[in-house]
Amino acid sequence: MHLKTDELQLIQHYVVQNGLTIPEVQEDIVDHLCCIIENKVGEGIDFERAFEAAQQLISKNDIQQIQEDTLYFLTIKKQLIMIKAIFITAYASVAFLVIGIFFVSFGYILNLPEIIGFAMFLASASIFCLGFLPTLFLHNYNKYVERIKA
Amino acid sequence: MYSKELLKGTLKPIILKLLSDNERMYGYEIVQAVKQLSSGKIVIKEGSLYPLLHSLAKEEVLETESVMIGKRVRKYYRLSKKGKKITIETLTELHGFLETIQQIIHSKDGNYAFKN
Repeated sequence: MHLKTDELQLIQHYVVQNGLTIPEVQEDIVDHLCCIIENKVGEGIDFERAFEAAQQLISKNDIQQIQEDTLYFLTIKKQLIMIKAIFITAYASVAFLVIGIFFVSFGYILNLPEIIGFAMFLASASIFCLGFLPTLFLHNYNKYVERIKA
Repeated sequence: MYSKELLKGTLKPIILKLLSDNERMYGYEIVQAVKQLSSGKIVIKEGSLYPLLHSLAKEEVLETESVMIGKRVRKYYRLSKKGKKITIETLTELHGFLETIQQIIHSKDGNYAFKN
């Protein structure tokens, strides 16, 4: 047996209302709830009681957890890459800055060209402005958007 | 019912094994199959199942096929070519791990080199 349109809409509304926003996972959970309910209706229980029983098996908290865990699994690799990029650009920027300071401060003692020091400063500033800051802002922006959506 | 910690590491091999024995399965079917095969001792929670299925689909271990059932969509999962290879590796590793655990659990007291 298949559920009626208004019954299906009730189930879809339950899933969406409780925070499941990923369309592919919505389809899975709606189908799963429908299977539970259809089994119970097949045993002679009316739709309302079957729906209540299904909601006990997949509660509001469960739905929210599914949303969080799925988002985590789907985005973890991208997030790790971004965090690595933030650390690497920060480290590179500081390293070039330190080398630049060394060349400028001690260059005349060791007879090293000061221009290398200034080139290091430029490299440090470039990596900081074009690498570290955009990556950091993008990472924080994505996290902010996820929080808003939730 | 077994503890969460024991189940956590074995959910992926269980799903891969089921999908290797069946052409395709949907989520509810997977839960019921595991419950039946384990005589009710293992009941997979939806909160554990679906994030894992979607993660495996993203890694291209599983392929999905959407079918209309009445007015709703049912998503079937099947192993991809890559998934079949990974299933063999995963199950071989699990088999070896279980044998090792058996050895430890059934070892007699005192049968290791560094005991004082």
